[in-house]
Amino acid sequence: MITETFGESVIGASHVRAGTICQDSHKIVQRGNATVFAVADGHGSAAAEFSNDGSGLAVDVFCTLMEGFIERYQLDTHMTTSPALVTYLNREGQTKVARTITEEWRALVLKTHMDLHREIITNDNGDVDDAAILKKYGTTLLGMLVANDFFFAFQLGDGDIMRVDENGIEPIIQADKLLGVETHSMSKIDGGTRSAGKAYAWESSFTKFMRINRQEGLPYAYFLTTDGFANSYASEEDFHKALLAYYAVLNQHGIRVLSENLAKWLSETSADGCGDDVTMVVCYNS
Amino acid sequence: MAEELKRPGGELATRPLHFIWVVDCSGSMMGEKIGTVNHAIQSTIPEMVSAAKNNPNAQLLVRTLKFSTGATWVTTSPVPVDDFAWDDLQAGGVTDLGKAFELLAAQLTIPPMSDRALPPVLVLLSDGQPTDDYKKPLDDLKHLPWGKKAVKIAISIGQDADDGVLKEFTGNSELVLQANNPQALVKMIKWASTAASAVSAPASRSIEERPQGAAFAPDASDPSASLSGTAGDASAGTGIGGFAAGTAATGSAAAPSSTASGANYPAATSQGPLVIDLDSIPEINENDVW
Repeated sequence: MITETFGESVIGASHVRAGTICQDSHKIVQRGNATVFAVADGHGSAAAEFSNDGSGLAVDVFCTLMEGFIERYQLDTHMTTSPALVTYLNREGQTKVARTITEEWRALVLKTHMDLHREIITNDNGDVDDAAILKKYGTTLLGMLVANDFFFAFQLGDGDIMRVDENGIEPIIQADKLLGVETHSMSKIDGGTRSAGKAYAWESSFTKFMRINRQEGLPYAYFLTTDGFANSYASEEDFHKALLAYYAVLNQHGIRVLSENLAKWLSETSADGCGDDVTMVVCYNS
Repeated sequence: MAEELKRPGGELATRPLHFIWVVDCSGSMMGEKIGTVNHAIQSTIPEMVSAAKNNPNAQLLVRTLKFSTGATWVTTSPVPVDDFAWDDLQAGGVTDLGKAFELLAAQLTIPPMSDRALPPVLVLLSDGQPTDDYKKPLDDLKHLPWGKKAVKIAISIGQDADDGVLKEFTGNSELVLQANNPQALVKMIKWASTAASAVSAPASRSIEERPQGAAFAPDASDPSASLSGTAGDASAGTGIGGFAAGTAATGSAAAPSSTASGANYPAATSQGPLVIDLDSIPEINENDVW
């Protein structure tokens, strides 16, 4: 089976009118048999003035951490994954791995903020207020590591991770959907435990580990989209129909044609849809 | 050469933004009060249309709910603002506010509300005290997902209005606008419609940015916090989640601006989004009170 991955992030129509920049980011890393890809949607609210940086750092962190697994367990060359990694991701994916992703992002954001000599925010005691700085970089993060015989998916905040094949469409992760324009965020304050009234960012994340049987030989695709895509359709059903139609294009024309048209299609989606930035990454297995 | 294909995926959709006038038509509103309400809302429709045109990525849908002895939808289904026409309301009867909250709650449930909508805007106008049991219906309304997230504004007409009840509705005393004379009532209606009817750009915000249980109340620690702002929409005033008029070509921060009529409206911004700037609430003349 051949795995090809492609993605685009386009600035939203409303952001074009406003003269602001695209706050979405995406990243793809192909290493032999293994592929890592991620999308992130910077909040763009006034309180998150550096969220374009936040989303860029988020996809970087996810891809870097997953590349660590690829190197250590030679996922790029091995056809069968080490039982040790399978066990680890199964047992610790939702806890240690998710926590590492959010904590690495947090550390990278704070370092970036200092390196760029941006305003240091302090609390009443004069200490650096990490939470206030992190809030300025607020973003979502969705990512997948796809190896020869498994995938690992991570989602924190809104957006969609879907699998499509000839039999239909299904969500890889069924994450919390918040109404309106609110979302869970990588910038959630790490202040203690949920039972103590505070929550870690990673506690709002969802992960999934699943075995893949490529011997079946049927094509399929993973789609990662920021919420600007789904919000440009009237209903969940219409959103699903849209991804099925994109999948049909993949099957009929291949990923090259999709890559030549995707930016234009996503811009049209934003202009005639919700106006938000839109990102789509497609991992096509044919 | 690149092969150009038509976009797959069927019809696209903007996000609905529901704007609901909730009008007290009890006997105490008879005469100049209901006449002023009718005139003011009628005259503000073109401004709402103009504000909506500045954000083509949301569909502004308007309707009216009246209450006196019982409550009734004047417009039975949401009407695109371009097609919205105001039917003059008549006053008479008691003040069954609880019935109005019941009808509101039924419409803010999912369905008929879409889970992909923008937060709805509810503007309540009242001059009196509820005559029915409003507490449970209000509690039910505020516990609905969209009831929690709705932008809620109240206009307190005259000196007999029960501001405590209106504050319970808005959850924020600063969003209970005082209208103690006809001129003030006109200003407040225009402000509420203009401030809240312009559609917002769909930027996201962290759930952390809004304290739980205090939907859209001003966040003193974050004067620029907005429901759906973009990177450039920091407001000089106290931001609450919501919407502001968008008619200017530049994306300046929302700030009070004087108009020929003397009313202050939220500064227009093409950034779409928006902050209701409490500092822009019109000044009113306390003389000549109802």
